[in-house]
Amino acid sequence: MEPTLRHGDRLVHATVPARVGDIVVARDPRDDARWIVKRVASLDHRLAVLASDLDGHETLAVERGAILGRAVLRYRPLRRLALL
Amino acid sequence: MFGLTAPRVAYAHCDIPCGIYDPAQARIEAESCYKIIEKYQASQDEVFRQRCVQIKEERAELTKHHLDVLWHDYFKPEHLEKFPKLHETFWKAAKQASKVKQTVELSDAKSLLELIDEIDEAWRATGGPKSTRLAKAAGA
Repeated sequence: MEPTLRHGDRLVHATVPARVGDIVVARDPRDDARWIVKRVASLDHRLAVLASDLDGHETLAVERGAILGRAVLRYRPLRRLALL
Repeated sequence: MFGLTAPRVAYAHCDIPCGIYDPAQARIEAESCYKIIEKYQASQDEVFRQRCVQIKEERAELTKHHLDVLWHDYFKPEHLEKFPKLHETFWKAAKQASKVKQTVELSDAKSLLELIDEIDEAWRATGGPKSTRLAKAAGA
């Protein structure tokens, strides 16, 4: 998700519905115990396609129910405090 | 309303060589299972046979993982038009990999290879080799 997000960034996510273009937190379809954070590239009634902000990264399809919420704020590091 | 929960790590990286896919990864593990079963059947050594069973378990699990990655990350909705049975094939292949864990029947391992070959056909027909593998260096 570089350059938007960097390793170690601390985010707040809100359990609100996702829209295309939002950065969302979701359950990793390949590993239920893992969370992933990616941008919503497209949505239909059943699936969301999640993408990286970095060129060339593959997209990932997840069930909409796997989306946990929208990343709304980066609060650390402080110098990069920002609404997302 | 709004509340805070304990922080959790979320991953942004795909965790795989980005854009690189090849059913060969799954096939190699499935071929390994096949040969393990062959060697198991040919041996009377109980310790060897136990090791066969243990390692076959691991390689069959890897087969499942590689198939899973292909299914989730390589294949796209438009590929279904060409291969409407794609999801079913992946489902069958994953179940067959489980079967290969459970038995020491060569025919089970053979069926797994055949299902992977069907997936390989779909990967090739959808431009896989060109778009998801890097070309070898000239002369290599």
